[in-house]
Amino acid sequence: MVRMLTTGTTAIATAVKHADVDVISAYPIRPYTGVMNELARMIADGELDAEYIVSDSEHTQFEIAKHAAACGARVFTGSAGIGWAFAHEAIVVTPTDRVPVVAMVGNRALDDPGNFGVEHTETLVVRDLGWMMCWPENPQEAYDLTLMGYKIAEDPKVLMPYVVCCDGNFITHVRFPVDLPDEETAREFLPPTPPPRVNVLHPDRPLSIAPHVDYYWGAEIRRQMDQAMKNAIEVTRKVHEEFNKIFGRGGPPFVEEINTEDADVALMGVGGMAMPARRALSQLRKEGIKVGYIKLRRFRPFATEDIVNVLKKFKVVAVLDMDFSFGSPYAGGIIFQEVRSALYDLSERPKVVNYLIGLGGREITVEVMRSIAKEVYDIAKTGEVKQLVKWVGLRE
Amino acid sequence: MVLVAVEFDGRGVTQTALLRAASDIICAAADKEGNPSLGYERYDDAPDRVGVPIKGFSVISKYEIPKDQAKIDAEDAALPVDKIPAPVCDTSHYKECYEEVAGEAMLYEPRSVDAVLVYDDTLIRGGEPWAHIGLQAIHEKLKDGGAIVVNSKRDPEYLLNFIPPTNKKYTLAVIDAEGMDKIFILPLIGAMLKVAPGIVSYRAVIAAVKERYKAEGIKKAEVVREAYNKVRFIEVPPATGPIQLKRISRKFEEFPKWYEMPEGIVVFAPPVDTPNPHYKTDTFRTFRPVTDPEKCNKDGLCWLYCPDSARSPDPEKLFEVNLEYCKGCGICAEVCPTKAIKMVNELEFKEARLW
Repeated sequence: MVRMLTTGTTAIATAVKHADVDVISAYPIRPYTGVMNELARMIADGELDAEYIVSDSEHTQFEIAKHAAACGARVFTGSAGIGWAFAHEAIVVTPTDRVPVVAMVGNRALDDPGNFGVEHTETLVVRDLGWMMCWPENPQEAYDLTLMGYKIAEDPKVLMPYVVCCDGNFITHVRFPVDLPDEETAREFLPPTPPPRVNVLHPDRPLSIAPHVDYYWGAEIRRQMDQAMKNAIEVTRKVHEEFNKIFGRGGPPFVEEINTEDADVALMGVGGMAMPARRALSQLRKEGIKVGYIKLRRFRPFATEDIVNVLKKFKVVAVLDMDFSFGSPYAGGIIFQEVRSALYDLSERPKVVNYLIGLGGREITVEVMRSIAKEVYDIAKTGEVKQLVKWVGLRE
Repeated sequence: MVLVAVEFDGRGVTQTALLRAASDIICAAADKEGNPSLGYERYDDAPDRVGVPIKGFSVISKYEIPKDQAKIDAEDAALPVDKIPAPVCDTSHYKECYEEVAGEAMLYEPRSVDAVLVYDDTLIRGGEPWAHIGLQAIHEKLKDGGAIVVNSKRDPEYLLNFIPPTNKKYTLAVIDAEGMDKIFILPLIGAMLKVAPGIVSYRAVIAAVKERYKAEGIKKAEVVREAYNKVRFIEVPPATGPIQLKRISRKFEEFPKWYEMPEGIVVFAPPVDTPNPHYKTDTFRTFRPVTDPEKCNKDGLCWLYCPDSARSPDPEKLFEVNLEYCKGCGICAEVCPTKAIKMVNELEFKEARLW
């Protein structure tokens, strides 16, 4: 194990190297480009032996990844913002073909021209399609979640694509101290060859993947995918525990409680915003204000039971969305809608409020987190929600 | 706990990798002392544009700054670089320090910096990297009592002409890095250790440099030591009286409210033949084109070739350059058949101050 100053993109590229992938399909778009550059360097320097295919667009790029995975190859690809959106058709058919593609998205706003600041909407718009989704808090976790991704996606009970969503700039482009394991330890966890799959494209056993489908088949195909996502919860749990055992870190698989001891209220979010939140909440605790933070590590599959179990003890939960869903119920963010809905059947459920934060890549300071935490704390004291959905840091 | 930070100012294309290398050395030195750090370049810079002012940073959280750091550093700098004791790696407060520094990770620039390292002295006029940001003074983020370290052949007193007054006091240091190292990172860092002690220790930097440059480590560490001992500096007192600056950066709060903005991401164009009043690109410039009236044959190639339309079409005014927009690319000088245009370093012009 060496501690290196490493960006999220380099950390992910290192995980991809440790996974000993066979095929990489690439097309540049900031902030994903950092991963692609680093992988190209690794191949050029002889550190990694893989087919590196630069495509003519993101659409082709994701098609290449899908097809290579259909041949049984271990693959890596990635994109960001509108690039990911342009690949949408290929992204839709990757889970239906049941191929364990692992991708990275450097989260980026959709798409006020040229705004490469982080927003989570671009990955969340495909939340319903069968991609497993996780959000690392920092480059360390970006490495960890990428390595785990292969093991989860390739499990015969799952065989669904997996995407690691990284906050653009704040995780992709900031160098943090990161513990990178040596290749042997990584391979002890993830063997370089994926578990054998029967239905792969090979001349010895001709078959066709994804021929024409009509209404005789569609519902059953959906149900298979539904089952795979359900299976993914238990597989993820198992893989995550195994990772913890080998590397001595990783936390719980789906939802992590931070600073929640004796707290009646909690903030909740995905990705890098946990960093200023941790700092703000430990400051507030010293001042006698107990507010917890719930880090949603994986959003798909949504581990309803785990999440409800964690959230049910709070009086108020404030979901911090770095995304938007215009015209949605109560005009709230996407994660807010899902969390609120997951708690509906509880006889005593926490109030769930929503903050739209960091949109367009706006900075998130410790002070912003403090002021949100104090507001939510007051809601718990007075029981009164003045505004269900609030925009943070907006000029108004 | 205390947060310390260093800013690195450079120019696009050529210096991007240098900013990163400088930040990496500082962060690696912090790591040698057991202090967590973040290193990054400003994300919304577009370093693919030649000459554009760009910034990089190192942010470090440490439990405390030893009171006698300057003294320890001075003693170390008196020793040959291979005799310097190894830094003590104290990780007893690592966890809380990490939490502090990571809490600053969702920012594009640190809130304040202890030292600004400047690769090229024309940058001390300030930078305007983007249309809506405005001119950022070189000491915009500098803490009171911080240091500006400039790579220059000029005297600090002369450079002061180009730095706008501020109510902070600071140290202005100059090191002529040319000839000391082929890239100017190490002399700047060595000079910084002298004028801004406490960010990282001298011995930690030497250890980091030795590790980074492996076989050349000792030679490179010598560069740091030489700069530490050679740097010239003056103390600049805070300005007295009111400070009036004609071009200052616009505050976030001054931007329009959401309901005041035209819907649909609309930007109104300036009238035809008028330059964009909101975005001046003169801070991209290191060299200014100067036309010799004796040699000029008025063929207008300079006007024709100017990629920024910064020249007037008037031959009688020798195709006068609008200096608020000229980026100093030198194409006019290159295409001039009579070699009438000379590119002259911006700081040769005393009125080149932008404030």
